[in-house]
Amino acid sequence: MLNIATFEKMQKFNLPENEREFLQNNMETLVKSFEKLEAIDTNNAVPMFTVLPLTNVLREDVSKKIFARDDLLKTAPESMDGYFQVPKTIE
Amino acid sequence: MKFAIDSCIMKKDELAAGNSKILTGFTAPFTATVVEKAISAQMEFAGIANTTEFGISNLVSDEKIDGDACDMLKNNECDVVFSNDFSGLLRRKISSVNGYYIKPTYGTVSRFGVIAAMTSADQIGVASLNLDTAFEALSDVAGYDEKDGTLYNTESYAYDKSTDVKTLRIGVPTNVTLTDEVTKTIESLKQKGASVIEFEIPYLDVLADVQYIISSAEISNNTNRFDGIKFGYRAEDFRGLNELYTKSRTEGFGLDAKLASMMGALVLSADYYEKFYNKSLQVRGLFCKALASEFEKLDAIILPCCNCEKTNYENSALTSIATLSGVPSLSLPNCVQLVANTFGENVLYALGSSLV
Repeated sequence: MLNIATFEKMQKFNLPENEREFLQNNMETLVKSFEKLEAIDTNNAVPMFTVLPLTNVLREDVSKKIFARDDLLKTAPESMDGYFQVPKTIE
Repeated sequence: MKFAIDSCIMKKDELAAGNSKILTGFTAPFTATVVEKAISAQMEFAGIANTTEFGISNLVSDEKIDGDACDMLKNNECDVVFSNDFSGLLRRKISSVNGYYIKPTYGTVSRFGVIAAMTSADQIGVASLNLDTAFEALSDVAGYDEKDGTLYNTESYAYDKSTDVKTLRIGVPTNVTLTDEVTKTIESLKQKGASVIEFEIPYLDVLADVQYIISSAEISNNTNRFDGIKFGYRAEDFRGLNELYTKSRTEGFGLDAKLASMMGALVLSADYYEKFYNKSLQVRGLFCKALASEFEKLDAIILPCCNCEKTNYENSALTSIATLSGVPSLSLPNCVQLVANTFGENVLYALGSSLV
């Protein structure tokens, strides 16, 4: 049986009991389905992180102002004096 | 031409909530390149099309999505909808309104200003009730953008349908259950002179798993930025920073986003990384290589977008062919799907046009 609490804590959730049980069942079903992968021979196969033939993108080292600070702070639930506002972190 | 964007694409000062409570009230601080290009091409902004939460496949929630791309097209609210359909949901649903969806080659349309979900497959495509309109709109927005470092260098793309269907070799998979509509379409293409070759889609039985593993890992990383501090929703009544994160995220995300988030954490964890995540990336590499080899003998593949008797998860195997490999696909009415090789949009356009 999966220990869903580990992943719940890792992803900063505190699920109600009914959701926890429901998601646990679904996670176990998915994991069972993933087990099929074991049968595939992947010896010497290179993991593919991107389908693109990527190369480094270089540009002149010149700063650009793309975003205005106020525009970005407007999207935050709370901000103050040009900063994101968070609760007191050290008691 | 009127265009809409899905709720994961940003237009400055418009709501871009990705249909998620965690982004309640989030208005875009800047405009996506795809929107800027559409407006430059004299297209008129018509509104925002709803999606599932962040476009994530609805495996466990059965919430009905009103006002989505299909609704907007059906109600004549716009001519095209630009949407990042990494999960394949729109590609499977567009036939319900007799429409088309072009998923272009990965790396041809800028993702700047799109709320990231499955980063290695996020790609804006075009939904429309008219095939010519869809390709015209795609041509308007595709092309190089210095703000997206994962684009091909091609400045612009002009699509045309002049490829002679008689010269095309169509692959019919022997390991997929073909619907009557697909069989009829194959007959029609044969009558138009296309040659038909049977082949087997490589790794088909695990593609849904590979797609879910890679997408959940990427979605999990991408949605970790939604923490109640920087964007949208913040819970009330919390004690300290940790509880702010936990309460905001627990209240803010829906079931499928929570499932993807936790599955992403699982496949990236020490116990499962090699077994599931790395293995999936290896299978993706093998699949792409095998598919490229098939495309040496074929110009396009025909298969259903979905099979009504199967679940969303099982059906995702059919659309994951284009998602995982980055090749273009075209969803046609009646749940028929065509897939071509990288930069094979003109083949899709010619085939699609011959069937209209």
